[in-house]
Amino acid sequence: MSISVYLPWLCSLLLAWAGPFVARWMAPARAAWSLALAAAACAAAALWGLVLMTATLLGEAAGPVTDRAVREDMRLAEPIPELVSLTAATLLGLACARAVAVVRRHRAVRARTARLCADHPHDGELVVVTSPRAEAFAVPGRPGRIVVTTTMLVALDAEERRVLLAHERAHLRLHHELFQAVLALAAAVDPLLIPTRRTVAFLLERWADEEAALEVGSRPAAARSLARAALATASAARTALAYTRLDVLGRVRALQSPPSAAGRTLAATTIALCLAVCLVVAASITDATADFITLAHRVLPH
Amino acid sequence: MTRKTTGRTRKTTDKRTGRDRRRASGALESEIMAALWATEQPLTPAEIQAAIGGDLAYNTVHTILKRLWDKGLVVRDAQGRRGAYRPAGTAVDRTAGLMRDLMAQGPSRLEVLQRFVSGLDAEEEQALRAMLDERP
Repeated sequence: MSISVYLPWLCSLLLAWAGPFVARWMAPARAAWSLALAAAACAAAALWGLVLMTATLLGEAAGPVTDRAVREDMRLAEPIPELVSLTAATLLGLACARAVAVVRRHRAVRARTARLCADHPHDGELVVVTSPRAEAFAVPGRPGRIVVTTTMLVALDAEERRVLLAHERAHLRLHHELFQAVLALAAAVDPLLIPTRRTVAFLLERWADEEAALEVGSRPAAARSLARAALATASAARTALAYTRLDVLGRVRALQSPPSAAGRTLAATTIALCLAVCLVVAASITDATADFITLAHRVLPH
Repeated sequence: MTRKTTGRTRKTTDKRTGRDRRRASGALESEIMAALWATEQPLTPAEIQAAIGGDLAYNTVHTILKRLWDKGLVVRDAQGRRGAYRPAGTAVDRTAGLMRDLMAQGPSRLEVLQRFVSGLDAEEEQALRAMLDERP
């Protein structure tokens, strides 16, 4: 069990390191899928590893039985040190607490957006809010809505508004909220995935940007819309500058350069890498689980 | 009615045929609403057609305005020009308050939202301004 339970964490580090390269060289849709799947696999395996390591604590409680078992078969794997299992138990507790916090946070925001849209007395996709802030975001659900403030609408021309609507519609149509939720939970369980979460969040925006450019039929228009909206946000809400934001300039520049035509080999390599991460992780948890079962057989009387 | 419209929107946008695809009617409704909200004065169908531009037929604009009016999303301008429309601004103050409440949630919570843009630093702002000036 010793190495295999740590492998998912190692893979998380690898993903965090490789994420920016993947984002730069691959089309956003593929990159987002690859990273999201790999991150989900890492988080699931890391969580399971923590569960296994914590469970060995229960084994330690059955001390006498262990002694007998150890005498009977000395070749079996050594159980992990108690300090490690205690650390694992702590990490497991923290992971659960963070996951609960993520769900709460999600609910709090969703309840407010739902109220914002419920107030919209009629059907229709677009919900316009009178506000001095320039804001626009998608609210997934049935039906999915697009919330835009009047300040934002005034700041853009007709084509730019079309880009904005197409961008938010792409988020809704492609269910980007699910990617986001999976990555938020993965990062809660395994904090080493926090950089990957941010990379995927950026990629989802890039993905929607490209979809919008396709729908409007102009990448320059999409870039302009984004730039104009970002400037409107900046001048409308100076106080809000400090917070963690996704790299708008990077998105604009990506739209201005030709669509990422990473060579097939490179894209294939990256996908292969992410698949390899998933495989390694799967193998490691299988191995760890097998070790654990062996250990349990040894510890528990039949 | 709405459900039908959204269904149609999805079907059309799923095809990746590119720019010459006809805009879906749900998307057009949003576009016209956005155009009406973006200006202070009421707009006539002809003005809307000019504003959102391109391939859109006058009749289409008219049909969609009628549909929006049926839904109560737009009103005909009573004292102004005949045939001009403006958005029906109901419950405006409440939504503004709800928006403030939402935005007061703080940055980490707002990561849940997929926002079109979220803030800039001074350097980025300068770069974007320069970019927009390049192409008037």
